[in-house]
Amino acid sequence: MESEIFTYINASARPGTGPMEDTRVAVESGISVENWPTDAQSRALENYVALEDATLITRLRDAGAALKGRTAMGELGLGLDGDTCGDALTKGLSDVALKIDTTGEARMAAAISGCFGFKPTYGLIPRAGLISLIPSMECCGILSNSLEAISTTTRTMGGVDERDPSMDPDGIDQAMAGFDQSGPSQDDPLIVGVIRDWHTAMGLEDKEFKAAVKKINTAAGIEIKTVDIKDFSLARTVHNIIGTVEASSSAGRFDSVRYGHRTGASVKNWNEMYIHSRGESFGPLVKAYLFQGGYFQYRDYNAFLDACRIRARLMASLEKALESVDLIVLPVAAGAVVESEASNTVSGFYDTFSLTLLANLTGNPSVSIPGAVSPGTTNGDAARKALQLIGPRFDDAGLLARASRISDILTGEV
Amino acid sequence: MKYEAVIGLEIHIQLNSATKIFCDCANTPGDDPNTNVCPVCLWLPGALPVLSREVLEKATIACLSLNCEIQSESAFDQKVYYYPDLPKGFQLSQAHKPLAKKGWVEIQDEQGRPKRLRLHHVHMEEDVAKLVHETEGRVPISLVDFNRAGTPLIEVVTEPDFRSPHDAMEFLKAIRNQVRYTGCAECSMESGTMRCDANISIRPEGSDQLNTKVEVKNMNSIHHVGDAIAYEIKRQIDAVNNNEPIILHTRLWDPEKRVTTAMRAKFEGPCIPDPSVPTIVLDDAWLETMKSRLPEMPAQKVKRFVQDYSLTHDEAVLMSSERGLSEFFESVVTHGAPPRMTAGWIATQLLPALKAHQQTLAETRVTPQRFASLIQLLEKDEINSNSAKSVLEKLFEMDGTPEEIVEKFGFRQVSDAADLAKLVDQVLSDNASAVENYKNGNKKSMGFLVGQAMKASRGKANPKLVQKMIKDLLA
Ligand SMILES: [Zn+2]
Repeated sequence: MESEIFTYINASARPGTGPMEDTRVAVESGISVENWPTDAQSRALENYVALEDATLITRLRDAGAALKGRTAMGELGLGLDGDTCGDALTKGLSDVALKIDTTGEARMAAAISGCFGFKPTYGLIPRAGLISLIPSMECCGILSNSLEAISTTTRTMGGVDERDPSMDPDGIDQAMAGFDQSGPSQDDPLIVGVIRDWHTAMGLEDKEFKAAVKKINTAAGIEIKTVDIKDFSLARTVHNIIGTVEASSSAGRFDSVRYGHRTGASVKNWNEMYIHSRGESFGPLVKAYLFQGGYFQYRDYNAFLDACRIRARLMASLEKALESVDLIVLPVAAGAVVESEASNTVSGFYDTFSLTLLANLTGNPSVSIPGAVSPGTTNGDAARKALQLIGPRFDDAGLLARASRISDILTGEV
Repeated sequence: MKYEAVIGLEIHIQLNSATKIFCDCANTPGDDPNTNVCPVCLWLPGALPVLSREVLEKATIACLSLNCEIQSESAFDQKVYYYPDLPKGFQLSQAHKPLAKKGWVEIQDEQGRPKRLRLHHVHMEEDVAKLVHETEGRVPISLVDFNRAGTPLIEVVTEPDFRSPHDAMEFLKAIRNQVRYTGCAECSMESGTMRCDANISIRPEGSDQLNTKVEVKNMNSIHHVGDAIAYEIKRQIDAVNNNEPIILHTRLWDPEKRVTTAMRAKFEGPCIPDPSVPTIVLDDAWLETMKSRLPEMPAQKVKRFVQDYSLTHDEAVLMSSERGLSEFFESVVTHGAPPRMTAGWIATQLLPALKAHQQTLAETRVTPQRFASLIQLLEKDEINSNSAKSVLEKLFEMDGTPEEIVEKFGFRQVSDAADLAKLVDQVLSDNASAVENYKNGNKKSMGFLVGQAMKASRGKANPKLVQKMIKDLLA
């Protein structure tokens, strides 16, 4: 069974000593682990073995975690085609799974398999050693059945890293201090924000969400408040443009010269070699994604500039909204969640992740709380029943504590 | 119709920081191939660039020496192009927000009048890898050396203020002098630490339109830049006169054939902001620190040398032309040598001797202290200039003070009147006809007679004293 879930099993996995000594960690292959195959599930990185640990892996080792092996993932972190990180948890083969979240992949994978998924604040956990297509949004996500384990893992992996200059030292200090403090208690008044008209502009259904919010509202000390996020309905398009443009540029390094698959076709020059090799390496979703990025980059650069401006507005607007509420609640998914081969289109991809991508654009922490999942539940149903909470940047500890309270309310434990 | 050229330059200067721009690898591209590499400069997946502080500081100081306005905010972009010397598919460069804007350099135009040439901006970027093409074997192969990948460059982009090859060549000399002075770069076109591309177009004289430009690359000396520009201006004028259109493209200078030939352009896309290297924010305090690290630049130094040491303008310019030279000069003067005599001897004796010995001021045995003692012996008439030249030669060959060398080899000048009187008497009686000529008004004969006396003393007589004695005797 292990071999169905893990693409690589670490035969020498053994726990050390430290705060994570009882924790088995599954690591997808987009996160560098020294001497492990690190192909991010792409032929473009076929047989690539990482030369060094990602900083966050070093920190896990130092904390005594046992690194179990590689779970399967969507090519270069895009989407969830063939993903097995949730299975590693539900089948009891690991306690924590790590998965890069650039559009909502970690939270969505968690929702589908009925566990918690957390995307920390952008810049809290070092990016050094992560392989993804969208550097300005890439963040190591954490899945687990236990929010406490997620909290410990975040705390272990977080902190300034001299290999990653894009981190914000002040924000990190604040976030790390949050893990040391006692945090919000279960009785504190809690204001939960709901984005005004979040579903109408996007043509989505809000019936299940309404019921969940109603249930949260019945708990003592919790107030529901409507907040306005300017341009919320544009978030999907903004992510689409910025994500594809960054991907088109980032994927340039997959040139088949120094690693990965190289074409066997006879070619006349190196340009032909690039074209054939890349054509044979990338799957349909990555190809379509890179094509779109190329289009915006070369043919409609102004769209990219507009998208960057709207992204800045979205960040400001979300930050302002989070001054009046403690957190914002959204479903993990509300419309179609594409579950099969059909997910190989960019629009199908964005249909699936239309609600999770906001936190990737703005860098805010976001945690998904699973709905009730039984063996018969489809992925789409599971995602639609799951909620995600978005909190202020660098208040990761506070968000996880509040997620625990809301999860208890939803499961009727309060 | 008469045409004038509109020329702008793009100059890449390799900074001499200890490390590359985004990693800790040594910035010594000439080492054995692929020895100065790491995941960052090999551009492996997952590696992140970390901007070197030293590179930022040296780039800033170089920009200050070119009178630029340092921007409080600058950032790196990904300049996308596909070529095997850039296997990650983009170069980190400052396309949208450069480190410095504006700036100027002063040159002298063909008539010797001062002319200011303006810079548009200066930005930082990483160099790409070096391709080595091996065509010897049956299958030609291209090898990639990553030692150069990620070495730090600044690119100086000028306004199209240049009208002639002269302007371009003087400009290159001027920025080389300025930047070398700061100690932040070697700026040698010959060794590739300074590279220059020229954008050239022509227009009817007196018009202010900007026509299609042609880019010319591959000049590896300042003279080549001048020659290539001259060639390209003529080529374009000929083309226009023959009703051929000028097309935007790139040409390579061929130094053997002395012509430019069209090359296939690399594919270049637009630049997107790099998400990994943070925006560079510089505050006033930091900038003041950088300004304080800017050495006294040649223009100020010339003024001070004229004022403090009574050098002529030309002497001061020469003594300030290189920072090392100016420091040597001042050190000699500080050791007590008279400034003008020092400047003259450095220019006419020491620099040619260094060249002959293939040495630099930094490495030669002729220290400022030893050179100062030599000049002082000369000034005090203890040796004459002939002997001084011999002593200088000895200073290159052996240790010891100039005084010791003078004693050891008997270079001391003979100024003793009794000794000289004997010698002069002998010379006058041996050269009766020259004496006759002198008495008849041929002043040139004096030179001859003094020369004979010097020869008789084997160069050690005090020539001024000898001349005075002959004059007195023949009066
Ligand atoms: Zn390196």
